[in-house]
Amino acid sequence: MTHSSGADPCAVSLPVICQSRLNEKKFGQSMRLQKYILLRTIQVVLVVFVVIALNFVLIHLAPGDIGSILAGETADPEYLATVRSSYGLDRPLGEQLLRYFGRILTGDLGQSYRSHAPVLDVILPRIPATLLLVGTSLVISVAVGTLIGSLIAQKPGSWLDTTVSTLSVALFSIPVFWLGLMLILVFAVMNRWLPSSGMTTPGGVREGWPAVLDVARHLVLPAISLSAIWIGQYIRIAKTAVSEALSENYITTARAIGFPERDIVLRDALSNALLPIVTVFGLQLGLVLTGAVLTETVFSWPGLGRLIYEAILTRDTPVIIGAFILMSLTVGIASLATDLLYAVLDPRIAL
Amino acid sequence: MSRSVAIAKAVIGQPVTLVSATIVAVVSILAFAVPYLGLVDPEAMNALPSQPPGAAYWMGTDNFGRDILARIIWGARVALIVAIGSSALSTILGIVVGSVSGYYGGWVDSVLGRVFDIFLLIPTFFLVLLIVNLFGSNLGLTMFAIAITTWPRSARIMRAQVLSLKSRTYVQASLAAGASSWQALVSHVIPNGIAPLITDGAILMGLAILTEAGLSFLGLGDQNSVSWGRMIYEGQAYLRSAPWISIFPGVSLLILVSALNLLGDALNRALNPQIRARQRVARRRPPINASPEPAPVADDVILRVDDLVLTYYVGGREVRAVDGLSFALRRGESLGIVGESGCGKSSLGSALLQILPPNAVLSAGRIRIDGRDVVVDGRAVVERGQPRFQALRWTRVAIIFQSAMNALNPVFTVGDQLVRAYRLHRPKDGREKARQRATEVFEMIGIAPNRLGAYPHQLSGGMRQRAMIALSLMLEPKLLVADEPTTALDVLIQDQILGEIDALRQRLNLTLILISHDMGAVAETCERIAVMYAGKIVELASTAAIFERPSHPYTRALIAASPTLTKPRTALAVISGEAFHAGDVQSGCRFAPRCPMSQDICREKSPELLPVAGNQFAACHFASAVVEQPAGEMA
Amino acid sequence: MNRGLLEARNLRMDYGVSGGFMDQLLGAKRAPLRAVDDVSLTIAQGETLALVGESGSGKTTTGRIITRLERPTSGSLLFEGRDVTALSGAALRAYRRHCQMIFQNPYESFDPRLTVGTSVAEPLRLQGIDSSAERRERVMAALDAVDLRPSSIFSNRFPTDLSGGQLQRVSIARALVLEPKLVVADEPVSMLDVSIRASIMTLMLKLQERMGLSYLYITHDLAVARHMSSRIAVMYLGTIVEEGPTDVMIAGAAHPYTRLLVAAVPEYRAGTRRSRIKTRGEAAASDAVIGGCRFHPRCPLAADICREVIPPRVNLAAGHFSDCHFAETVASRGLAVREPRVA
Repeated sequence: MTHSSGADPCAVSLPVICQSRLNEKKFGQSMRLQKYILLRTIQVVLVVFVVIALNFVLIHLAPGDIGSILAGETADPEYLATVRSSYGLDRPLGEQLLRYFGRILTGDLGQSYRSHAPVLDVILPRIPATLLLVGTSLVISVAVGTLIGSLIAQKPGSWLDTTVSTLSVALFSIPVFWLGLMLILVFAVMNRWLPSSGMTTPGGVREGWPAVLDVARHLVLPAISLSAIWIGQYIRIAKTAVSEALSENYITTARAIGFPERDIVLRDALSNALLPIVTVFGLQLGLVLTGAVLTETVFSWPGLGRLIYEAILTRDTPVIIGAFILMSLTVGIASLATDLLYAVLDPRIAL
Repeated sequence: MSRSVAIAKAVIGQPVTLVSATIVAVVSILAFAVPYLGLVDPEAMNALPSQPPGAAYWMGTDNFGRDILARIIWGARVALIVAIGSSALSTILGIVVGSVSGYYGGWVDSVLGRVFDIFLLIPTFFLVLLIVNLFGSNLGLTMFAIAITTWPRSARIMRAQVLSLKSRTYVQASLAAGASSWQALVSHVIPNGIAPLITDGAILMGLAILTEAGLSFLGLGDQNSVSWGRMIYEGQAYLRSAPWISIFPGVSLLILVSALNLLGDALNRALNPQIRARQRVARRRPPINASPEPAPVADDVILRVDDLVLTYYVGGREVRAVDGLSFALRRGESLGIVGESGCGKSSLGSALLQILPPNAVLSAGRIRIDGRDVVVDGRAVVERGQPRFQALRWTRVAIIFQSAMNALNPVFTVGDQLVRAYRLHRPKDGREKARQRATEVFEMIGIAPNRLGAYPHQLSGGMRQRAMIALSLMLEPKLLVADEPTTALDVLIQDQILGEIDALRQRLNLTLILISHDMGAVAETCERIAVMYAGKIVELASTAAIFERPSHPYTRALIAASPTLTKPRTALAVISGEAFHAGDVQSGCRFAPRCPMSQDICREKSPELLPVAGNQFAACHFASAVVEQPAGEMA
Repeated sequence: MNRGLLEARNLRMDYGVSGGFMDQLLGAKRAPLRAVDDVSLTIAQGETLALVGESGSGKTTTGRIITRLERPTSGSLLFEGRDVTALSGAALRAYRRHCQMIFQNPYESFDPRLTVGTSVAEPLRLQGIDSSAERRERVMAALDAVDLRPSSIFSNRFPTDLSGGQLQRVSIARALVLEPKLVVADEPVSMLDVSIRASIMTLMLKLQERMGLSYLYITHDLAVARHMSSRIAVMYLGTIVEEGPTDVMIAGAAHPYTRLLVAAVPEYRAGTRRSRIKTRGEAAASDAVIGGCRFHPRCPLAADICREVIPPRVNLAAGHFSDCHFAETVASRGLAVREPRVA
């Protein structure tokens, strides 16, 4: 019996942060689901509030005139005055904050300084493209990563394990934008197999299966860049989760009963390992969106990320802030959805 | 002390880690020595633009004619400054806030806990992006912005550490000795808790480098410093004509960040004994092919074990957990196997069920179950390409584990698990029949069949153990191995469960092997007892003989050392010395160093298990003398 | 009985009353878990009181209150007649000079970074013994007293180098280095092997005699309690249901629960198979608040009155009481009368 000090229950460092969350969930066994949802919803709302408040604070702390930050440095005086009065910039700080909250909560995220259109109208049309890219990449990376991770978890310490684990670390150490550039170099520049930018071929077909195929062709490279990195992560997470599950006593029971090893891994171990995988999934959505911004920039994919990039280039602060708030809301809701999924998967959380 | 050794071993031991550590070291030295290296000025536009790699410029030149190699080396400096600065800031902040939150608990913890949760949900890159966009781009700000978004991660880890450490006994002991909570926090909790934070620091460094690179790639990098991200940003326009401008900085990022991540992993493994303890996988001995046997002769010997040896491979050493064990059991008999931790009793159970851990292997001996050889010479017997034991699993031999230890799968209902076991072995019977059987065994064991739909966590400890017994009975086995079936249950429940096992054995004419550390429990349930010490059976006899005329000094000592409710309250006999550890090398009798009767012969010659009287066997040179002594007294 | 060294009166310990931040926001109130419910006990100079109960009975919490690792929700604690219930800071530290604790798990009892000697010296350091020579001398004497010889070698070892039995000896040394008057021992042998247990128990008895110590010995094992103590108090779901002299508790207990505990101790009995008494269910925290006797859902003797009326404290003899409506009957006839035996 050896007991050590700072032993930390997780095998790889990434899930460390998630493990404590997991334990909290197990503790909350008796918590009713409705109450749990309510608590988590409040939390999402709080996140959005904090983000809005952060924006407000940052804008006020930033060097330079607040009005011109919001209206753009080259705004004409008339427009500047409109912005000043609509944000109440001459009012006391508290009132400004309230007005700011009020505006944002009613969906008024201000005006894009570049296009003078309401920020919401600028952002919303960009969402489907990002969803397509992120969704595809996540499905690929979770599926492939979990599969490979479960496979190598069966042979811990083997050369296959060492090789794949090292490769998976290398995979998520690649800067995603650079991977994108390299893929363009190989598949679009050196060999003209796939398109390197955009979502559709300019002047191409706009409807029916050919259009779908066209989008799919454009999707290949960005989706590969984005998912490659996350495959690395999910290999690690799945490997840790499955090998942890495989060391549990119910696995010994299953072996004693005589179930074939394939059943044991895929049914007994994976069914338990899915719980940490889902948790990590929920926690990392924010990071996936980061990757999306960079990937979209490289491939000129007409999504939210590309919009943010364009906003940075033109110092279109209202758009950046709007996108930030929207991203926070998205991540919050997605994480709420993951928690619900977790509750469905884990019978220990009472329904 | 031991920790630094472990770290050093982990770093040197694995080639991948060694390479990573070397890379990190070399890059760090380069980064900090670069101003004194007298390299080409990274901003000097001395060469022709966009020259491919060659003898003069190993990595070529960029579109302004600057030396890419020089820029890469200067870029390493930027990468490391950002990495160290932001991860140090984040870790320190994390330690302080995490410790306070975890240690003081209560409302402090609830409030801070919410703050961490909220921060974890903020898409941090966008926050950094906004900060840099608003405040302008310089390295210091970038570091600060990154740290602001990563500190909750460090704080959360620290909090989890502190939460688990503060209930540790040694912290409690320090408090009980008179330490204030502040003293206990600083002198015991934090020093023992920061290890994972330090290892996570390596991973944070990688994250910071990638974040800085990402910002630079979006054009938000510090305009006055050479960063790898900015090099890629500037080079992408020349991807077609001069790809090397963007290739080399990307490769540098990949190598450094991989090295940091791999190093972080290795440190984490080194500091985490649960992972470090991953044992070498024992090489399986080849199976023996056997021709199909005719139906065995009717014989009521259910189990026969001959000279069984089970070897564990622990840290390069071979340890015999079971060392030459022989016994036989007839139908309906019950045998208790008693011994202290590490004597090999549980290993014997796993060997009988062929569920050995990967680092263990049967290296000799024969196991015969219900008239069929399933292990010969330590090798599995295979018939028509299928291990012969496979057909006997659960239908002839079943096992009950200590169920508090998660022996049932938490995500399936108990009924599902019963039905599944049944259908594995009787696939033709159909689901309905399996359900019927599950209901039957539940009733047999005294649980209402409507509990079949319950998940294991919905059952109390005693119920869970009953469900485990029900599972073992699903396919009407002849031999039941119960491995510490009542340990960790409360006294009254223990008694009930043992009573039920005993009643079932008699009712179903089961053969029972009860493995336990508790002499009393075994005495009440089994007709015969085998006492194990250091991998061997030292005495095998009827329960009455074991207690009334023990013939091995160890048996005698164990009985005399156990407090009971009925014996006179005299002083307990004390067994001198420390328990035998599997792996201790020692010639002669293994109990000799602790034995009050040991003579020279005991240290030289290992005693064999020989009959003392009738059906009583003992492995002691002086068994016949021991058995003559009045019970309850020590020599 | 001589004057009480320690007297606990009506101790109560509630957990989880406050709830989380979110709960407070939502106005949600969690039902408090009453871990210890109206426990009173006295420990005399030089005696051992065994506190026996199953997991969840509140025995460990009671021990932690007495060492003042926890502060009771209500009730009072008197040590040598002085109230120590609410001490803090320097006064609490002074109390700990007199009252020490030995913990259950020897493997977790020591900071893995420190040598055994440093750990044993910690109480001295905390109690302001600044001379390192004096500390060293007392550490050596303490290690010597628990038979870890040569003490100079053991004091330089790290916890990972020692066996469970040796570590538990070090725990005893650490608890005794301040020469306390009362030691709370929380299941000190339950994690040790049988062959090691006897030596630790014998050592504790020897030291008690030599130093005139009082023990509160917490255990789930009646056989161990019988060996170590002169009096036994049995706890069930947070409260003491019966207390009496050890021999009386083993042979003539007056509470059905004590009777059941005695009957459940597995033991070899020549020539006979012990009959088992069937009990119902398992202890559930909710039983403590259902009204009537908290043991009635599992009690083989439960009658209507048990479900409705909280049993009174019945004094059977000096120092022997039982919280049972049928205490006298149980004391004289055990459980045999009403319960059909199960083989």
